[in-house]
Amino acid sequence: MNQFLLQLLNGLVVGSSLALVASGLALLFGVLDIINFAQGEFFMLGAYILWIILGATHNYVLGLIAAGLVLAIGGGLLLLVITWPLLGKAQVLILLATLGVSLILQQLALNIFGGDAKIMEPPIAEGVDIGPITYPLYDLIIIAVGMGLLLAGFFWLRYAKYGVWVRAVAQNRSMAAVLGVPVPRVYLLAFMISSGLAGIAGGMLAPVTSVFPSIGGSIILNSLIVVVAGGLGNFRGAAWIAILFGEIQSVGSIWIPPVVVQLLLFGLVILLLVLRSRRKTALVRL
Amino acid sequence: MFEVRDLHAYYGKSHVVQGISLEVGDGEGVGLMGRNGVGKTTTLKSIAGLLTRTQGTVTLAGTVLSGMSPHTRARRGLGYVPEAQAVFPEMSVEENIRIGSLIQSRADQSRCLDLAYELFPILSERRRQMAGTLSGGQQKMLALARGLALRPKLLMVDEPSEGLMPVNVEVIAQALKKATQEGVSVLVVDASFDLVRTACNRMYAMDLGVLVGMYRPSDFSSPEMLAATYLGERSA
Amino acid sequence: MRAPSRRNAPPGETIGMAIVGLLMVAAFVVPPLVGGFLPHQISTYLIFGLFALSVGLISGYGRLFNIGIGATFGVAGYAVAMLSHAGINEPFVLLASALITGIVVSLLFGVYAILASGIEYLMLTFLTTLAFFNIPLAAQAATGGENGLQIKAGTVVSFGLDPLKGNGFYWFTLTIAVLVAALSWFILSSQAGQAMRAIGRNPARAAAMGYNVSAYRIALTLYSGVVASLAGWLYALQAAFVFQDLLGLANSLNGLVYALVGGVDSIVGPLIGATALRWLTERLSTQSTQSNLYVGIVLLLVVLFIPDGIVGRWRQLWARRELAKAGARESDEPEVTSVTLAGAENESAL
Repeated sequence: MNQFLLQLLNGLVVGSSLALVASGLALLFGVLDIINFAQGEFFMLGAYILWIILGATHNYVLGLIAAGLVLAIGGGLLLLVITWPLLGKAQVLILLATLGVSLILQQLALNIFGGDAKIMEPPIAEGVDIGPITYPLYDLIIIAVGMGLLLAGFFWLRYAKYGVWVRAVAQNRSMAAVLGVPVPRVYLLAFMISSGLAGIAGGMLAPVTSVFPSIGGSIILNSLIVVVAGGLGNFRGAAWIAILFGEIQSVGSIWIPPVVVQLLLFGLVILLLVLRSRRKTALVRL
Repeated sequence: MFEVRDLHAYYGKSHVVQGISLEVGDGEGVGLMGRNGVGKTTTLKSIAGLLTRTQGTVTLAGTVLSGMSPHTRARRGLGYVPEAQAVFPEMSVEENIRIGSLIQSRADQSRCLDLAYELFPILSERRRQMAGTLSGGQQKMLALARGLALRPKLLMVDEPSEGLMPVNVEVIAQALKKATQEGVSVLVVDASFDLVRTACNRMYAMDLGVLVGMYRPSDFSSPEMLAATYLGERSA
Repeated sequence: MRAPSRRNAPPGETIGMAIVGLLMVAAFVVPPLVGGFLPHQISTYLIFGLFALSVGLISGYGRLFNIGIGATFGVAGYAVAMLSHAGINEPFVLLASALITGIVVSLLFGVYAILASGIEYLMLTFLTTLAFFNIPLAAQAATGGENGLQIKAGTVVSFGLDPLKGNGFYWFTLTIAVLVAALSWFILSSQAGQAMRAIGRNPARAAAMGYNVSAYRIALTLYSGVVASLAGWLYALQAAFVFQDLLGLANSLNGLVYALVGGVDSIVGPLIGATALRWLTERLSTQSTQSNLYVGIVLLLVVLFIPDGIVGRWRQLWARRELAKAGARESDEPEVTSVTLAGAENESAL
C-alpha cells in the first residue's frame, strides 16, 4: 500500500512535467505540423539554467523564471530561424533539422558543462505526511505547479484572444489568415510557448533528477510517445495522456520490470494508432 | 474602389490565370462566371493572398494589397469566403463567427454576432453546435454569415449556393444584395442564375484563364442563355 | 484512360551513369590492389550503403518516411547470430532466415503503410524501432542483452570467405551490392517503378488514376525490407557480432541521413551518402570526440542547403546547364516547381 501510494504520487510528478513538455510538442505540431526533436534538449537547458542561477543567487524562483524565459525566447527564435526556410517543404526535412539542433545542443552542453550530473538541493526539504507515507513537499509543489500551468493553458486556449487564434490556425490555417488572424505571430507564439514549457519543466525537475547533457534523450522519447498516443496536434489530450503514462510507468514498475513496462507501452501505443487509423477519429479528444 | 490589374497565377507547371483585370465599385455586386476549371477559384485565392506564385496589382480603397500577407489584407477590408472547408470544425458556430471579429471592440463583436444571426436565423438555433457537425450547406451559410458580419469593404465569395436548397439560395442572394445596399462590395463566383440576378448588377465571364466578356443580368432572359454563355458561346 | 507519359531522363543522367560504371569497375580492381584495410573498409561502406538504399527507396521514392528500418537490418543480423548460437551454420539457411525475419518486420511496416501516412506513419515506425531496441534487454538470455551477440562458427557461415583475410569477402559483398543496385535500378525504371514514383508524389491523384496504392506500397516496403535484410546479413557475417544499437533509432536515422545526403531520388545516391558520411565520421572521431556536434552540423547544412542530396544537386546543376544551352531567358514565368523533397509549395505557408 505504501509502495502504491508512493508510486502514485511519483507518477504524478513525472506525468505533470511530461505533460508540460508533451503539450508543447503537440502545440507546435498542431499549429505548424512540425515535430521538434530538440524539445528534450530544451528541457535539459532549462535544468542547466536553473543550476546556474541557483549557484549564483540561491534564488530558486528566479532560476525557474529564467529557465522558462530563456528557453521561450532563445529556443523559440532558434526554432524559427531553423525552420523558416523549410516551411512548406517535406515535413521530414524539418524533423531532421531539429534533430541536428538536438545533437549540436547535446554536444555543446557536454563541452560547456561537462558530462557529470549536476546535483541541486530542492529549495524545500521538508516532507508532508500523507497517510502512511511521508512525501517531499517540493515534489508536491511540482505537481501543483505543473497542473496549474496546464489548467491555465486550457483556459487560455479556450478564451484568450491569442489562445483562440492558436486553435484557429491549428484547425484551418488559410481561413484563419483571411479572417485577419496574424498567422506569423501565432507561429512565433507557438514556438515560444512550446520551448518555454520545456524549459520550465526542466527547471522544475532539476532538483529531483539532477541534470546531465544526455537527459534530453529519454524526455523526447517519452514525450513523442505521449503526443503520438494522444493524436498529433491534440494539445489538450496530450496533457492527460502524459499523466496517464507517468502513472503507468511508476505504478507498473512495482510489479513489472521497467523494460517490460516500456515494451508494453510501445505495443499499446502502436495498437492505439492502428485502431485510430481505422476509425479515423481521435480516441481521446478533449 | 477595388481594382485588379493584369493578374497572373501559377499552380504547379500550369499558368492558370493569364492576365485578368477587373474592378468593383462601392456597394456594387459583381459576378464572375465560367465553367469548372477555368481559374475562377485561383483568381480569388490570388487576390486573397493565399498563393505564392502570382503577379499583378490588387488595389482596395486606395491601398495596394499586392505583397501583403493574407491577414493584413483581411485587416484592410478584404473578405474571402472559400468554396470548401471554410469553417473551424472543432469550434462552435458562435466561436467561428467570433474569430473574425476578435480584432474589434467587444461592442462591435456583439454587433457582428447579432447581424450574423439576423441574416441567417438557422445559425442562431445552432450557436453552440460544433461547426464540423453541421451539414455542408449549413457550413457554407456559417462561412458566409461570418464574412458578411465582418462588414469588409469587399467580400469575395466562391460558389455560395453550391449544394444548397433553392429556398436557402434565395436567403443567400438576399443577404448579398442587402450587403451591397449597405455599402459592402461583393465579388461572387456562382453558377446560380437567380443568385447572380438578385445580387449582381454586372458580371464577368471567364474562360481558360482570361476574361472573355462582361454582361449585365438583363442581358440574359433565361437560365438557358446564361448556361450557353458558360458553355462558351461568346455572344449573349 | 490516359496514355502513360514518356519518361524523361533526369539531367546529366548519361554522364552520371558513365561515371557510376567507371566507379564500379574501379571498385572491383582498386581496393584489392591497394590492399591493407581498404577492402574491409569499403565492404562496410557497401553494407551500410545497401542499408541506406533500402531506406532511400521507401522514404525517397515511396515518400513513406520510415525511421525504423534499423529494426529490419538488426533483426536480420540477430537472426544470423542467434541461429549460429543454436548450432546452425549452413550459410544458405542463415541467409534465408535473415531474409525471412527481415520480411516479417517489413510486413509490420507494410501494415502501417496501409493504415497511416505522413507523420503518423513516421511515428509508428519510430515507435517500432524503439520497441525493437528494447527487446534484447527484455530477453537477455537469448539475445545477449546489452552485451550483444557474437556469430559463432567462423567462416563457415560466410561460404568460407574470411572478412579479414584476402579479397574474397570483399568481392562477394561488392557483387551483391552491384546486383542489388542493378536490380533496383531495373525495377524502378520499369512501368511499376514509374507507378511507384507517381504514387509517392501524389497518392490521391494516383489512386484516382486507378493505381492500387496500397499494393504498390506493400510491394515497395517488402522489397526495401529484402535489401535491408541482405545488408543486415552481410553485416553479421562481416563483423561477426551484433548488438542492440543496430535495431534502434540511431541506426535507423543514420540510414535516412545517408540516403538524404546522397540523394533519395536515385539508386546510387544512398550508396554515395553512406560512404561519404561514414568516411567523414571515421576521420572526425579519430581526431576528437565531438562527433555529435559535427553530425548535427552536417545534418543541418544538408537539410537547409542541399535537401536533394548530392545526386539531386548534380541533377540541378545539369538542368541549369541544359537550360542555359537552350538559350532560355531568365524566365518571365516563375521557376518551375521541382517535385523533389525541396519542391516549393504553391500555397503560402502563411
